[in-house]
Amino acid sequence: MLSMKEKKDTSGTTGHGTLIVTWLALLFLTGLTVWIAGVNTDRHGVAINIIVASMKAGLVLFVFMRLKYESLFFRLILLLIVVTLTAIMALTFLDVLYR
Amino acid sequence: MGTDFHTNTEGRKGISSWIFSTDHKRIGLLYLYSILGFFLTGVVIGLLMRLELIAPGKTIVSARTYDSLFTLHGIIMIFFFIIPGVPASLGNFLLPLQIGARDVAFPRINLLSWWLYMIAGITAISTIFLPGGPPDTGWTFYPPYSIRTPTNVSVAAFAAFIIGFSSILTGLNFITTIHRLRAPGMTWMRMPLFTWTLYSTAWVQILATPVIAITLLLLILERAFGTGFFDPSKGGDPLMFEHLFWIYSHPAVYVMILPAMGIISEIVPTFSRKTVFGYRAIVFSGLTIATLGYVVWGHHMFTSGMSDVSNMVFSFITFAVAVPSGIKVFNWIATMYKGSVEVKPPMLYAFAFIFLFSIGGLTGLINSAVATNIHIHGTFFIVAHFHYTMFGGAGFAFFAGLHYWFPKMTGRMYNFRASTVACITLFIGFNVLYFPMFLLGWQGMPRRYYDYPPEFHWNNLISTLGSWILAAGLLIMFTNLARALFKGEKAGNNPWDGTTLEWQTTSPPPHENFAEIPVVTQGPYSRKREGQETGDR
Amino acid sequence: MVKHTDDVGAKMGMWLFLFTEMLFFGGMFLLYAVYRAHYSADFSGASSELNRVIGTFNTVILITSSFTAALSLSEIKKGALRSASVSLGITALLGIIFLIIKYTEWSAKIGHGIYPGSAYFNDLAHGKVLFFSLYFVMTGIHALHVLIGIVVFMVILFMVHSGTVRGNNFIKLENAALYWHFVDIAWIYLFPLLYLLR
Repeated sequence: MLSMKEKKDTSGTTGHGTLIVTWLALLFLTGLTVWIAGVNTDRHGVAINIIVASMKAGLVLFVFMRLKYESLFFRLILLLIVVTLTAIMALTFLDVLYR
Repeated sequence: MGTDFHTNTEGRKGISSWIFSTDHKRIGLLYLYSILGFFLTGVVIGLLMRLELIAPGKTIVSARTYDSLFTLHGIIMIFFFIIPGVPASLGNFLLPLQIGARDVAFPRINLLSWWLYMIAGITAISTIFLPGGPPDTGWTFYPPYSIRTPTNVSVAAFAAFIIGFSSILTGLNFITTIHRLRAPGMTWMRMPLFTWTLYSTAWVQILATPVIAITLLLLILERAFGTGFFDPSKGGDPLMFEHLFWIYSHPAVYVMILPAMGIISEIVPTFSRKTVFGYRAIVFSGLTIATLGYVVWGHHMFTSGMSDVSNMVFSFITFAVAVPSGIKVFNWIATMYKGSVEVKPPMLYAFAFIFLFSIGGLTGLINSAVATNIHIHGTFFIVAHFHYTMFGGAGFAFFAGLHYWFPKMTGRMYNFRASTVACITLFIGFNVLYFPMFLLGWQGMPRRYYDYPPEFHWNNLISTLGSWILAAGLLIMFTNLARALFKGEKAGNNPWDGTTLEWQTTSPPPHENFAEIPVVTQGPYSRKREGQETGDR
Repeated sequence: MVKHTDDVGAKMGMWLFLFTEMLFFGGMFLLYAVYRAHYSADFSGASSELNRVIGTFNTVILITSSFTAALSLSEIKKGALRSASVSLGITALLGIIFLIIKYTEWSAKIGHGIYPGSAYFNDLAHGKVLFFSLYFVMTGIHALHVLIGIVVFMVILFMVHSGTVRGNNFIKLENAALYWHFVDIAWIYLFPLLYLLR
């Protein structure tokens, strides 16, 4: 399933530099989202906050959890989960919004 | 390597050589026996329900007891028989054999999932003896009644929560096994179809089961603390419970039927002496059923007060599921066409499956049209429909698989004449039991009632008589198998001339399945053997 | 017995498990979304009763613990057992701090009579009842995951000391770290939904 190159990468080590930069980025995004929530209280707040949270989740997934280095299969199942959750939400809201 | 897995106890003695074994074959058999135990419990409860309905008015039990009976019948049959039925017993036994592996990817987690299954089963049964009595909500646990009733809804819901874990663990075990442990040369398009359906099923188990877990947990918290999620008096929406419940429980229907279809896809080519017709079509229709089956849950809620928009959307997608299901039926029939069909017991059960499942599937189309659904929703028509798909479909396929792989699992052969008689008796009993329910439902008899007006008497009487014929069939079938277990003739390694890998090892298989891991060079149903040119039909 | 030492397989199993966890939390997010759409004013009002400073502080704690968990994996892969242990210990400690803060936060709410079932609680507006129920259930289930993670890290720490987990056999630590990162991700979504959106 895995090509030789991927096989080598999956067991590799994430450097300290990368980890520290990611950590700082996560802290920055946390600060950003709190700041946005403080100044922006209209409807767009929901979307912006979810987007920032997803960026943070992406950093954790791809760097800390090393999804960047894993085989395609792992990323595909992440996609599958996101699609599934979206489908559930969309179909439920078809009921809730039009009831 | 001379000893088979029955005699190799891995250094343990007595019962602990079974309940602590991590051998997938022993765990498969543990599951098989426990599942049959729950099945028979469910059958007895079902017979009692039919006996109550033999005549109008109170016959043997009170209305309240009847409520508990149909609830327990549903919980036991659905959560403890038909959902784990095929994957956990036959699947556990056969998956590693079919892909040429020595065991599943996580043998200890496999054992854990059986233990969770048993703990859940005992928890569910314990509600009968606890003060407050067994739940009376139906297996669906719909609020707001399930929040108010004093019966042991929380305990039963917790049992279903635990078995959810068991189901998830089996699912992730199977997916990892199929990805990591296939024998050399066993490409995806060379996998046996039963393995393919187990793979689709495992995905459904993983994607759907967590949703029921959280739903039941929220129901328990609702009952314990009054959180208000599903309680209209606190602003909650009971329909959200129905959504969440069916987001799991409809895909669960495909957890029941997909592996059943896989069994039929194994049996039909073997007994037609032909390679299967449209291998890829069967594989992809299985994946399509799993995908579409995930997004049709709303058809259980057409009369619950959902929006019209979602009624239409869910109705449309539900109709679409019929297409891949139809593809499978046509493929089986095309496989038999111009084959040299041998009607041995497994094939006979497979015939029964195809007939009964087709009736179940076609009446499903009647249900999926919103207009007719409103007429028959919550009536005996629905009861008849899902028994034709679940029992006539998944149940008969389970029996077919049991007869097909019995010689592999035990090394012995049962009496063909007795199992033929059993199959015909079951088939007659089944139709006499459930077909009148279509008529009753169409006439308007609601399900889950212990009483009915006199004009429904005839059909109910016939149905109850059918339940006794069905019970007789089960008795013959199980007696025949039990007898074969001890006194059956030696079956040989490949009594049906099967082509998949499990038939290439000894019967019963040795502890680690294969003396040497086979190298796969051709498709699963190809009848070309090495040094043999003809025979591929 | 054939020893199965398929690290990729073990990791695949862990990922699949984490995906089921995402769907488990997904059910609660669905309820949140539906009830928020229905009772947006009540949700805003109830959300502003939560303490943003505490929420932010806990987010920083959990993100940092995720960082130290990733660090310990990098260290053990290099064979640096001592620094791997230190990182692991810090991770578990940060988890404990998170729980202590959570405990004080819950206590304050309960002290004000805000908990499911109380007389005060049942008199609140419907949207507020649902918001606070969601708050307790979501953070409660999340806290349970944190607690399990702490116990798992303690066990791994012990395994590093006994030599079971080492430079060439780190899959247990890797899977534990994956689990912990998931717990972090769950919180990354819970934080804005409960504390920030008004």
